[in-house]
Amino acid sequence: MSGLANATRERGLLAPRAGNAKALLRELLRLLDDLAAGGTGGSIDLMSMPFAQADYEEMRDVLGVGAIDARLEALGESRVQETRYPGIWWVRHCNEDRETVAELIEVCDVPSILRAPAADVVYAAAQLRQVLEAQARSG
Amino acid sequence: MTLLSFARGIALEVATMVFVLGIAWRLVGILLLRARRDHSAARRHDAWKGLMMTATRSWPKKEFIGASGFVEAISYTWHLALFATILLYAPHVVLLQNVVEAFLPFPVVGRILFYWPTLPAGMIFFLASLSSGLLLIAFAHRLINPVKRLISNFDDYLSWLLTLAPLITGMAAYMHVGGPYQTVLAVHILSVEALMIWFPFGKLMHLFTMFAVRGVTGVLFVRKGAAT
Amino acid sequence: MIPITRVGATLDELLAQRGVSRRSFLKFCTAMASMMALPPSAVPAFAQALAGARRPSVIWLSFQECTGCAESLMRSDATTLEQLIFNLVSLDYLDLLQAASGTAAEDARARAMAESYGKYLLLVDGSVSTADGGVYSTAGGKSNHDVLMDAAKGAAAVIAVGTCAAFGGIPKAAPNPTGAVGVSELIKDKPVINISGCPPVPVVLTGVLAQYLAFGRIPDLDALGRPKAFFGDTIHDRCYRRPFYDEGKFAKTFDDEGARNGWCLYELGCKGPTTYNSCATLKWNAGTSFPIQSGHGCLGCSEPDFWDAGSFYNPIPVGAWGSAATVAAAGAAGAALGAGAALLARRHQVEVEKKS
Repeated sequence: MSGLANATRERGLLAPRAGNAKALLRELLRLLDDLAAGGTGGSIDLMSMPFAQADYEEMRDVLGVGAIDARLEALGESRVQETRYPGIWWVRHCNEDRETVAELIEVCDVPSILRAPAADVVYAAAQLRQVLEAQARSG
Repeated sequence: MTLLSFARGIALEVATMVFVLGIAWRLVGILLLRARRDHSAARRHDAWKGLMMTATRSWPKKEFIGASGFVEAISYTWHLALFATILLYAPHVVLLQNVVEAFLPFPVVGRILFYWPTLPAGMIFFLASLSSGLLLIAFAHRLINPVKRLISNFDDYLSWLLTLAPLITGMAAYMHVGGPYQTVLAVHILSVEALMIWFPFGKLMHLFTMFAVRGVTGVLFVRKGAAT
Repeated sequence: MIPITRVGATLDELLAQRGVSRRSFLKFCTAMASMMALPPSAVPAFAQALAGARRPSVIWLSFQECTGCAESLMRSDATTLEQLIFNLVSLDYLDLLQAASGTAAEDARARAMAESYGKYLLLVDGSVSTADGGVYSTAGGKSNHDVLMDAAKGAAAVIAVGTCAAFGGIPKAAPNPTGAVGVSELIKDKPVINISGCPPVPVVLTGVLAQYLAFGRIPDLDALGRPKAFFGDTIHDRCYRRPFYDEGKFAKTFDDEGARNGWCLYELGCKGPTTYNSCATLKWNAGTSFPIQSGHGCLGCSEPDFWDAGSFYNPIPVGAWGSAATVAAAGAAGAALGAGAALLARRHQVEVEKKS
């Protein structure tokens, strides 16, 4: 897929600019203001936008990369990066064939995919308890 | 067969046939009429000045602007906006190219004859809405003004309706409102076909006759020695 | 491959069994919601609903088809996110992938239908032949038509996968020798969801199944029976080349300067404005590209009768003209009428002159 994607990028898709990037950045600013004021922020689904390659790259340039770069292994790799602006996160989900299945920009204190799910925590506690008890028994 | 394929297919063909038949009928019918022979001598010999009346008489003289200037201005504006909408919108130009390609033995003629720059779609939409708005104002004027209302007939009302309908349906199609796009597009094409069928049989023929009539009147005035 | 797991388990239980973490499930739901054009804020509710859904039985019937639809959907047996939904439904009968064949396969199908009578989902690809009693497409001695009507009796809903099953597709193109029709023309008493496209975008089917599993109901359908979530917008409305259309920048021929600059393909026959599908947003091969991005106009393959809608390279405004002869004849006839009218008028003029 990457080979094809590169080929399409070279084919002149760099040139056209649909102008969506600026509108989206304004929307992100609005959500960030909301989050700063104690609200819930929000998310923007990039896959449903008619993006030209140049718009995508403009978004990347403006938002940049921040302090956190998390990689998640769950039915394929997912990448969660905080951008230059704390509170704006770039989340990209890929499947096991390294194809992008979802790409979002989340405005929140931490994306929900990074949080440990409550049921998993309960299960983890039970597992750890078992391991420690087994250790104690064996000496 | 969907409404769209009907509109683009047999309806278009029938409308074109009626249009061509009607125009030929009326133009040939006018051109073959006998002109009354003028046995007197020409007072002036610059007949070309008479032909120029096509242009010079296209705007009211100073004395009459007060009475008719407003209506003339509205009328010119909606006409020009309408022609711009028809001729400067890329999908329409593609259609015109195709019409010529379909009927001339050398398809490339279509590309050469109908190859001019087009306006962006947003500007066309503005011009179409301007034309529609002014058409509605003109219609209101026709109904309110007692003289105009008295002399208006079926031809006037139908011609107005069939001119407005393609504008409104075209804008609806562009905005994707009023139903599924294919249906709205089909209705737009059918409205144009209705206009084509009515065109030769009413006052819309002024498109062909108007300029010639002004020129002929001018030449006759010049022969009589009248000022132009 | 396709595991055998008991029908009736919830998705939650199945995931836990398969060792799929909750994070993976949440990721799957995020991706699904994105494909289904649900807002990101709807993901938690969607995830919760899907987690509690019960695994339905699915029966897949193939009729007059090229197998492109099935291939499009099943090209990979890795547990990618899009395929997860297929591994979670109980695919009890699919002759393309199952090991059994012949009477054993037919028996399996009959058994599955009996066990889940009234509750199974019937997926169909390919059109159904109806001419001459449907003899032009049969399997195991039974015509497609009979198999379909029999299977539909116990189905909760029917999903017509691909333009052939939805609207008749290429077998229905003129002259349609087999009398091919779409499924919805034959099944009137069960809900039919049309997932058209030649082939359909794979994730549309998984999205519809996910929606059915999560919310337990048929998604909102448009006038042609297609889910509005995926077929609500035209390609034109979501095309990344739309700004060029609005500016009037068109490619005139393939590989000219306009084409190389990625300008609009309207003049090269793109049917984007009259075609409803999600290719422009979901694209193909997991978001790699779609025809317009690759430089070719949309064929309109998710619309009925697109094979008979004129050339793929004629732009939309172009009429389906008959011949120049008819119009020329009309012109000649008009001229003759005009001459006749003029002749009468001239005679009248002469009379008037004589009188005066």
